[in-house]
Amino acid sequence: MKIVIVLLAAYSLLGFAIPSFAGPALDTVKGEVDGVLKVLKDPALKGETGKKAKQEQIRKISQKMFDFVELSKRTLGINWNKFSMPQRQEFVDLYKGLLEDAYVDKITSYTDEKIDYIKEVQLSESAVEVQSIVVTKSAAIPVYYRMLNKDGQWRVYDVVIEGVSLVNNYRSQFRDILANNPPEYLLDTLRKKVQKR
Amino acid sequence: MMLKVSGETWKGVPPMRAILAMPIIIALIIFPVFLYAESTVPQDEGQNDSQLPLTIVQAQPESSTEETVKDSDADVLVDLEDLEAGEEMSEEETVGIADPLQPWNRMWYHFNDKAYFWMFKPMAQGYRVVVPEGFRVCFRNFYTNATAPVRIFNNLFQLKIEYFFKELVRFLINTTIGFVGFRDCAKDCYGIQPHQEDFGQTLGHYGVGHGIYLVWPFLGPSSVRDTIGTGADSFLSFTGILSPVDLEVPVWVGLKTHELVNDTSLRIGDYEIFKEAAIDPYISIRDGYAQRRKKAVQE
Repeated sequence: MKIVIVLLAAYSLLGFAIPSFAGPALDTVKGEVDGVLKVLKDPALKGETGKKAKQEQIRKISQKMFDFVELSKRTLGINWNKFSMPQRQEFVDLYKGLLEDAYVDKITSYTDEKIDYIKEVQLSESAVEVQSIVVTKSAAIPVYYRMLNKDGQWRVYDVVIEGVSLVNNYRSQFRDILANNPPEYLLDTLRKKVQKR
Repeated sequence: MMLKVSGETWKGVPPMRAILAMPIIIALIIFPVFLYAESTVPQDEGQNDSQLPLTIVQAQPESSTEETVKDSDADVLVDLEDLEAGEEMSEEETVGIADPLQPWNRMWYHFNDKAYFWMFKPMAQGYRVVVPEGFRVCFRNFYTNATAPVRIFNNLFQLKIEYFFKELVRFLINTTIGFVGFRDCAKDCYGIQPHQEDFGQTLGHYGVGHGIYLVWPFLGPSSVRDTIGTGADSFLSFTGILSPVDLEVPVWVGLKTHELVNDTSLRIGDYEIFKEAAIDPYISIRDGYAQRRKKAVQE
């Protein structure tokens, strides 16, 4: 009996000492991604109209899951200061549109992928990284979600796929454009890109 | 597969293979030129630095911002307070790679882009119809196993002893039980995960930087460091250009083409999505390359 108590005590101490592998951020991601998978596997949504409905529902989930303002700010970095308030707002909208156009389509074509959630890693006081692996028939792709807690709600501000941060990748592209052009030029480029679809 | 391993390989590399090895040889010969070019890079960074005073300018728009806070969309504006914190983090994380030869590299990027859409993609699409996915994964396993010595030796060079043994065991298992590598039995049956290392990573591990960014026809993004790495690894790969295994030229070209088409067939659509998502695909690839390689060296 004593041994059991000692073991339990040791176990609980260890539990405190080891950083938690699962946590509220991981649960949030898991819940939202499960929601997406449920939409994808919904047998009621078939054909062209079904696809549209699926995309609409996934868009809704993504808006809850991602903090597009934080994402935009981090992407523009120092250049965010060059943007006026209305420009910032438009940028957030266009950037969101661009990401959704690019990735929602891709996601809807997925069928039998399996997602393993590995752990949650503390990045800073307020930010954590939820690490997952998307396993397909031919590959295993590490997908990490970086998240911030604002007002009790965990939301994604960056996605790192196979070691490539989405925010950093767009930052280098936008910085290249903004080095020689005013914010309006970038907005115009985005407008054309998003409208085209 | 008739791979003839002979002791005399080094005596005569077939002339065709010497030609195929040209990109690497050229890189080595004009390496000093690249070094010179690299010395111009700090100027570029200097230009970026000149934009830094914006941080100071920032104080003004911020204050005017707060006035407009109330009458605009609250959702966007709530977050403006932690603007500064966000910036510090983001500037820190930036991974760059010098690109003084950008026009030249862009040309080869466009060449590779066309090679994909006009050649490799149609080939891979046809191939995909004929060969079931399971077989294509087997072929990819085979080609991966043929480069096992690259991973074994580079793990050793970096004194990653555990990974060295793991890769060695993987090679032994997959070459025997895995039917010359067609099945990744080490992973599937015994759960031994691969640990990718190449000579570019070994150089990076010992502090060698990229030098400058380079795009090679067919091979895609690379750098001076990683080009030298690829050349060195070629000696260790059974299917490499300078491989110790003496393959007939047509056999070698056939194998390489098959490897590329087979590989492409397993990820048709990825490049299209990626390109569609990018504002400037060239910059996006370059940045992705820099980020991936940095992580690969760190691991």
